[in-house]
Amino acid sequence: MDWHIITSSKGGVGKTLVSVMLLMSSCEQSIDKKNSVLAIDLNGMNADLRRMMASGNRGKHDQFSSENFHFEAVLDSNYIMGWPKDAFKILTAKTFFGFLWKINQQIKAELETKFKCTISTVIIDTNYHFCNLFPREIINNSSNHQLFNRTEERFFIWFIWVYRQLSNLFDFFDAMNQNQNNPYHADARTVQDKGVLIERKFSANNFVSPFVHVFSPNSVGHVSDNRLVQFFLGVENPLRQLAYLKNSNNCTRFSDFIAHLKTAKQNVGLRQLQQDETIHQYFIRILGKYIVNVRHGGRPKNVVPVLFEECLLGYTESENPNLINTMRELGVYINFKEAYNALIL
Amino acid sequence: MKVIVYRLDNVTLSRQCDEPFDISGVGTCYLFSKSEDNNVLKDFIQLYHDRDDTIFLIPEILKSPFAESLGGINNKNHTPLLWKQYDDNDLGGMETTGIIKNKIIEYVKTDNPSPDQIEFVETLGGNSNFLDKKMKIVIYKADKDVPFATDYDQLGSTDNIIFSNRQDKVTDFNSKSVDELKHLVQPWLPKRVGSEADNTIFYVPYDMWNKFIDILERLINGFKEMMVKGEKTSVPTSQQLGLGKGSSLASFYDEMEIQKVLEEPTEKNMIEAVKELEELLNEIVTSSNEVDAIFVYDLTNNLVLYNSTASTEREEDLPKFLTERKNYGASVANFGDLRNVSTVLNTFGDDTKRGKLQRTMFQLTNGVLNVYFFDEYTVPIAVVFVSAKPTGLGSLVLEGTKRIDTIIEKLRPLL
Repeated sequence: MDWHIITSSKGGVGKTLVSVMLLMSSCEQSIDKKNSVLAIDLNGMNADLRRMMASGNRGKHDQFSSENFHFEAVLDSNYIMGWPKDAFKILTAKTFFGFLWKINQQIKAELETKFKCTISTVIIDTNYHFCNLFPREIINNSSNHQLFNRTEERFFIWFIWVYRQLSNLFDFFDAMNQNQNNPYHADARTVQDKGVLIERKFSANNFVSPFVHVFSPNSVGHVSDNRLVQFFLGVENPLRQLAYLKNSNNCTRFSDFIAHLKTAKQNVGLRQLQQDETIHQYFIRILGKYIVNVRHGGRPKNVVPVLFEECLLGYTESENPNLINTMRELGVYINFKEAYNALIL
Repeated sequence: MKVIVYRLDNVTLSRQCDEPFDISGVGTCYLFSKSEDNNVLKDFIQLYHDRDDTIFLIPEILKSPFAESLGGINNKNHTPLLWKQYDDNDLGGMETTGIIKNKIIEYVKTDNPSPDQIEFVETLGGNSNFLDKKMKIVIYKADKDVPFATDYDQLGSTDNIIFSNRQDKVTDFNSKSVDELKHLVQPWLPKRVGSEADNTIFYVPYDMWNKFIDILERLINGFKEMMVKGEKTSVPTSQQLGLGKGSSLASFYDEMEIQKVLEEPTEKNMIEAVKELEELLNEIVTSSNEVDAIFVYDLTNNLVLYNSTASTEREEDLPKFLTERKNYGASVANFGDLRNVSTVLNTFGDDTKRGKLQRTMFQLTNGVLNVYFFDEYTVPIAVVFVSAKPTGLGSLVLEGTKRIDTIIEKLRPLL
């Protein structure tokens, strides 16, 4: 079974869009194989994925409740949407791992019996950073990660890089020769160290890395800035260039990904904004250099750009029931699905 | 990054290397156990090899995988690492050494562990420069003749070879063919660049260096494209080479004038190479009357690889190009279609025995593009000189002709 865990360190950066597109893409794959997809929204009161993809009590849909979760089969689309009964309960790393284990050992079988289907993919939309979900004490405990080392399970940890996170890393890169333990750099170190540790524990089935690195317009930029919107609408923006780069058919290791970012950052130089340049444009310049540096090898298949679609601005607030059908025709989805298929096949 | 090799016999550590500890005045320490996975070691080297605030504590058994991993990152398989005997000062003195040993002992899985069980044996690095080993060619001029009569001599060690500048030797050298001269250079050459002896420095007289480069090109495939310009300050002093003070060789060495340094690129000087190229493009744009922008374009991936960023007085004529979009914008997003121009004209040139397409001028209503095509690199590229005015064609051509070789020289290691 494929497990996709969506993580990010900040809200409003395209996480729901990634989750929706992931669900749509995996449904298309699963339908061909007559399988189902289980999607679980762990965003508590901000459960946009549930709001967009569950029935919302419109029409008749099969439902099922386990001890702590509700599930609803959206049968036409061949997926099951799940969410916690108590939206206010705080998720800890321990309960998260316990939940994964329970899905695998119990809930999956119950849902398959109830809805007469075979679940081949699980998507879990979280509002946590991967460092929150995978702390050392949890993943170094062998009983917690035994699920991840089974050859029949494949894990993908989707991480949406945001400019704040990148900014921390870049500051850390810039301070390489300061020869001191700077408290402002501790989190950058943790992100790097934890990335390597998670990769070591959860790389099974010949996957070099479980990480899928995502760049989206709102993660590296800010779509409330009209200049950036114009930029992202143009065919020259680095997200599009990354999407159009040939697929390398290989995954990048976490440390290699960071090394490429570091080189791109060094190519651009110290943070020195050009005239009229915003900090987002500065990051976009770095992303542009990243693409130049990796172009010979092609886009690693676990680096996924999300393109900008003007018609999706504010889509999570819309009540358009046809949004999903509309989305199928959009370049952002077509490109995402292509990247997803390359990743999992 | 500094690496300390520790000895701790028959003991297993419970600590994971990814759980570093900070020691004030020393840095962030990563403790590796003897069972550490080589891939993880490589990952951590990849992340921290260039950081002076990071210390790796590795068991003796990991020395070899460490060297191998380091070589892999630096694109060299067997980089000779200069380990030295450990000194307490390597970890900031006796007190901090004791603190670190106590820290390690917290993770020893035996009864009554003691810091005395731990011995720090060897040290590597202390700064990031130990990763920068590479073959160098130092081109020199001197008023005096070298103080030896042979074709070449060693400077301190077999890693440093100086070729004679005596007129008869230079004349003889230049009169021979590359094949005849190969035997002179080959014994000192690494099996391939980046191999065991890649810290070799060749000192070559100015009047010999073109031929010398031809020899290396013959011996090492792709040598000319590989080498980049190095810093004169990176050449060791006579003292660093261990030449006896006051010796005739030391006097000659100290008095000779270094003309140029060529070296094998490392990650560090690849970054420098980008900087130098962009500086050159800016210098051309700001000093030329007719060139308002230059960019290097990857015709396969539709990417602007490098571009001038400097403004010119005529900038207002290229607002979208230079001011608004910074990265050249949609104007060049489909520039890759120009590869068809190159293909068509190369075929024509081949069929009619007129040769390959070298450059093309595009006259626009309010500007001119002078485009040079190159298809001998990994992907076909175009170097584009842009004029914001429709006139001044002759000057634009002249500037291109004058500058294109220098641009390519800077660009070559990056392609």
